Amino acid sequence: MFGGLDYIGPPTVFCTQFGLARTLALPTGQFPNRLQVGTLMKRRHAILVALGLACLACVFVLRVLGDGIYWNTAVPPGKELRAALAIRDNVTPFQKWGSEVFTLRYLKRYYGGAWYFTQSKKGDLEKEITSCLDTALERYPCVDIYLLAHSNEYVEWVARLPAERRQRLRLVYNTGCHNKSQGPKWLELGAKAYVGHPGESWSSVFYYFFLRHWTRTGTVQEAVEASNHLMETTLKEWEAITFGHWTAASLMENSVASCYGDGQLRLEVHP
Amino acid sequence: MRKRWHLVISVAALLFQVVAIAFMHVVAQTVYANPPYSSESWAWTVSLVGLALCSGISMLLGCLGVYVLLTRSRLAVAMTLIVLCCIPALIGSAVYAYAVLVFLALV
Repeated sequence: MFGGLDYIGPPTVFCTQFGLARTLALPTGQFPNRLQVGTLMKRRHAILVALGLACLACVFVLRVLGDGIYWNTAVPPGKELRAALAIRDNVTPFQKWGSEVFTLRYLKRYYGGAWYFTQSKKGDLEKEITSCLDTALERYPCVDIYLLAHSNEYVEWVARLPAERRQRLRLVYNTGCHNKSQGPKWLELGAKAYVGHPGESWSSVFYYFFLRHWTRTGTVQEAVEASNHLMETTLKEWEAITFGHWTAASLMENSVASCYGDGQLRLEVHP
Repeated sequence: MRKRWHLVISVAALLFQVVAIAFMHVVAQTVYANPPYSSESWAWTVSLVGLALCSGISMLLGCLGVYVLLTRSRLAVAMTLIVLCCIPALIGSAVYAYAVLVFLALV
């Protein structure tokens, strides 16, 4: 055996350095065996390199694609006192799938009541959604709304609910483009805080960071600031990858999220 | 072909990424096509199990590809296939694994 290979050729001189084995000489008249030519590596070194590359791939993904690892994923107190409702508008099946697979577990884990609606056409499910929201507002002291939809007017649906129920609205997050301006309207309806984007935004990038941050740590203002920062980092990486075809600065101008209302709001609820 | 099997593994590791991406699209189409072919109730579980499997298979093929290339091939061939096939497979594996942990709200 040599370097993990069955040695099948005639006597050959080898040397090894840093785990690499190289053929130095072959007997006269012998055609070199495929395994004897070139550079090969010993088994144990090859295993180490393979596992090392796997570890490096994990580090690369954590560093470049993700926002790292939240070690503290404990559910903040008052889970039974808060509920969440999310609405996904009619987008491609893949986008619908991604939104639901990502969002649903967070809502179920961090809220006592969680509802997720996926529309199959514009304006779809109005009756079901408003009825569900009404029930949530009746049962829970705090209700958060996640509007995962392009430019939208769900605020009109919520405005039709009784005013006393709407006082239980807490955070409203809206991914819709140009929907930042709805902030004062939502606060007027009873929401305590509203987060929206100013223009044609990359809100899906922001939302990924925001939901993870908001449900784990800090205030809504801190979550918005941290998510804006992470979104900018991601967009700068895209700028580098596309050789400047996308410019992070212009994308950020339209995407940077703002918080209206009580920025000190936290996920936890104390009775 | 029998003598080249060690090259096939690394190429298979890369091609498997197409299977993983196709899997996600098939689940999405099955549940969210208009009209849907199936209900949403199973989508989350199947998606996570599928992604975990894709991660495991991708990692196995990627590592095995690196190992056999380093022990059976010339250095130039090994390096080329590791960079073009095995590393993308390992990164794909890490992405699927991270996605599963994120979707489970564990990290």
